[in-house]
Amino acid sequence: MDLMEFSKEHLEFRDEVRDFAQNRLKPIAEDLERKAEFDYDLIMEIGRKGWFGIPIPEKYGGMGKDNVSYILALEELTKVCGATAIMVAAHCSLCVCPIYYDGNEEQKKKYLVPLARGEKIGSFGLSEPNAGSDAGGTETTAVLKDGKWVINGQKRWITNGSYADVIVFTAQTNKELKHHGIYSFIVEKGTPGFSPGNKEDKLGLRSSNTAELLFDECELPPENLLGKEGEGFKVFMRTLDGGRISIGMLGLGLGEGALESAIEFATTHERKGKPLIKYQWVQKLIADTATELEAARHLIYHAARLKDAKVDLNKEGAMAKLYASEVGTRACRKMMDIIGPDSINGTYPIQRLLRDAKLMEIGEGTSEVQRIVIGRQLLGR
Amino acid sequence: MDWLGLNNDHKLLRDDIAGFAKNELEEDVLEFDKEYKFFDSVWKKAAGMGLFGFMLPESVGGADMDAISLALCIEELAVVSPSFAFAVAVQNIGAYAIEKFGGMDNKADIVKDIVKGLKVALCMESICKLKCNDDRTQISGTSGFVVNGDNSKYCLMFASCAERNTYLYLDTADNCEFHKENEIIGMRSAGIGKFEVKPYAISDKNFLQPDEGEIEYLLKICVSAVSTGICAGSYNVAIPYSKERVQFGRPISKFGMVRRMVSEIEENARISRLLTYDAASKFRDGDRLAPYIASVTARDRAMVCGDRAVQVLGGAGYTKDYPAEMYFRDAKTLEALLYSAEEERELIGKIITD
Ligand SMILES: Cc1cc2nc3c(=O)[nH]c(=O)nc-3n(C[C@H](O)[C@H](O)[C@H](O)COP(=O)(O)OP(=O)(O)OC[C@H]3O[C@@H](n4cnc5c(N)ncnc54)[C@H](O)[C@@H]3O)c2cc1C
Repeated sequence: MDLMEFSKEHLEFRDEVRDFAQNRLKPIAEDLERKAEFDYDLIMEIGRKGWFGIPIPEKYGGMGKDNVSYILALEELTKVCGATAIMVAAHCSLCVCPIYYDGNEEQKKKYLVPLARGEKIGSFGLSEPNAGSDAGGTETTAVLKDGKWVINGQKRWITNGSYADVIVFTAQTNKELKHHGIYSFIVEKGTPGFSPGNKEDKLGLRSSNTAELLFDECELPPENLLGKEGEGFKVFMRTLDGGRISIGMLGLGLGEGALESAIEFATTHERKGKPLIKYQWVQKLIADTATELEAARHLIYHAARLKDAKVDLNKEGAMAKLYASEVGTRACRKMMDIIGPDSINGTYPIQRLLRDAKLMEIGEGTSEVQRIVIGRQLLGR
Repeated sequence: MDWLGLNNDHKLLRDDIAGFAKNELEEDVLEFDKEYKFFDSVWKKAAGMGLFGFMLPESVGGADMDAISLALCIEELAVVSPSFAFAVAVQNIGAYAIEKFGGMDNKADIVKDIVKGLKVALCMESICKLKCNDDRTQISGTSGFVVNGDNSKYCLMFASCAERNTYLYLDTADNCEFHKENEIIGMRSAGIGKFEVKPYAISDKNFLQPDEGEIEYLLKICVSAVSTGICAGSYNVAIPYSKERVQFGRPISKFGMVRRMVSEIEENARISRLLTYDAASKFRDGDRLAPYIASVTARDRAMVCGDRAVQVLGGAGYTKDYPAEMYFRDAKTLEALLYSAEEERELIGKIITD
């Protein structure tokens, strides 16, 4: 029984998403993976349901729900298809949220409303070839010329990059100022001088799109500056605090999906003439994995509640992401052992879950970066 | 002898194979992995170098070497291509098993064929689902995950035949159909696929003599060697990357947590290597525990090494531009193809306590 503090409304919403995940998404998830292509129609269908703006107030086109609802929805989507879930997570946590928290009214009307309503796809461009963990090392430049920002540079590994209508990104305005010189901007698809570049061939999440963004003398009007001058880096760091909960949930949900399929397999299969569930190695694997996942789940929902309570969650978000992503990958790996050889070909989706899960230990701050964040909070700088 | 118990010949052999792997496999390994392609032309060269008859007598074209030599060779190939190494391992196991335990009249010819490169497939005990009829005159059925099956001429199948579980020798030209596995997550260049055996008439000559577990031990030693190679390959991709990749103004190899990951890879490579050579050096004594422990540990460590390599590379490790994610997938494949570690640990405990 789920005694965590979920209201009736939470659970009803979860059931709505679960219904979609199980009946609409699950049957096509393997196919999406095989084709390794972004399914635009499917994504827009999800958008029309309002799930691109779950934690955004209705007046800005969102569903007006809390972060716990958003995380519950991701949990259901991830269990069956990590690629679809990360598409939603990148859109919502990393593009919609910064515009909601840091945008002015004009920007909210112009960008947030269609993004939250699911009419447009959003993306977040922080990482660059030479600036991954060290996001402060941004080399993309923004120079003010004749009242316009001229952008030059390259972003790498941007989720939804090839398809995004609206992209929030960072650029350096003055190298001397280091972090303080980094500003955040909004760019729209089709802006002259801006174009998506190559896309990645990846271990997992193969139907999610990961692409370069190229800026070549791209001119943006001053209205496209997001947040106050000099606070671009802060905007992004705050965004990541929230984003971590969703990436953590993705890792956790994949692990939960793996556990479910291993349990189903163990209860219906034999090994050497004896039901699998009679083996203590099976019992142990299931028990250990379920326990770890349960602990991770508490960390994740705790962090989501902190976000709803609008308190600082730098440490808790990092802890939740660190633990849930590592546990998620481990769970997938271990649960495959229960299924045996059939776990590594197309017979069961579990191998896809493992490949998807590994990214959660890397994206939005690697596990090592999470440890640095947590360590700083406990030990000081 | 050095700390691993290797003599000079072993070392020369190791360097030879390492050079061969680098020259012949490195360039295409990522491409072939993507396309599930077997290294056909390298296979011929490997036959020319005598890599398929390590432990066979010279009379059938073998090299008459020990299990350590075989393990060394498999490890060095696996450093570059775990898939190719796995196929070569199976070829050697097949040749050894048929030469030593086969009952066919034309056994010597078959073994010579195998040494020359005609492929022998293996359907392992952990997987094989074939069954004989009651009077042991016919076998049929389908089994997945046959290794080195693509274009194979011969096959060793583990089957249950009237109360007896044993290896059977089949000529794949007769009534066998191979379907390549196009969705397996790793070991994609090892010619893995499904074997469909239509009713196939067999006689006593198809049965291998009782082997006292030797075939299984050799398989475990080889799988441990592939795993060790995966660790060493992970090392080869992670270490240079960590020295070149600059973040926060310095190479990431300067950071404690990256150093720790690098250390984990090397620790695990050494543990795997030691246990593999330990099992190989005890092969002739029929030591039961050593190959089990090597196989459980090395496969587990290979998975850790592949995972750490991906992690050291960060986002780059998640892409197909580097072999890190291939080692991760190949390691998981080995973990799944043989009995899983947890399952096998119960067995080891049983061996120890019985
Ligand atoms: C599928 C996918 C989707 C992505 N989506 C997005 C997106 O939508 N938007 C976006 O902006 N980015 C995105 N990224 C990029 C992602 O955020 C980066 O890959 C990640 O931040 C790590 O950076 P990096 O890959 O450059 O690794 P690096 O920073 O080069 O790290 C390499 C290794 O060094 C370690 N390391 C680095 N610095 C330190 C240190 N100081 N101390 C200890 N260890 C350290 C890391 O932990 C890692 O193990 C995505 C990446 C992938 C693969």
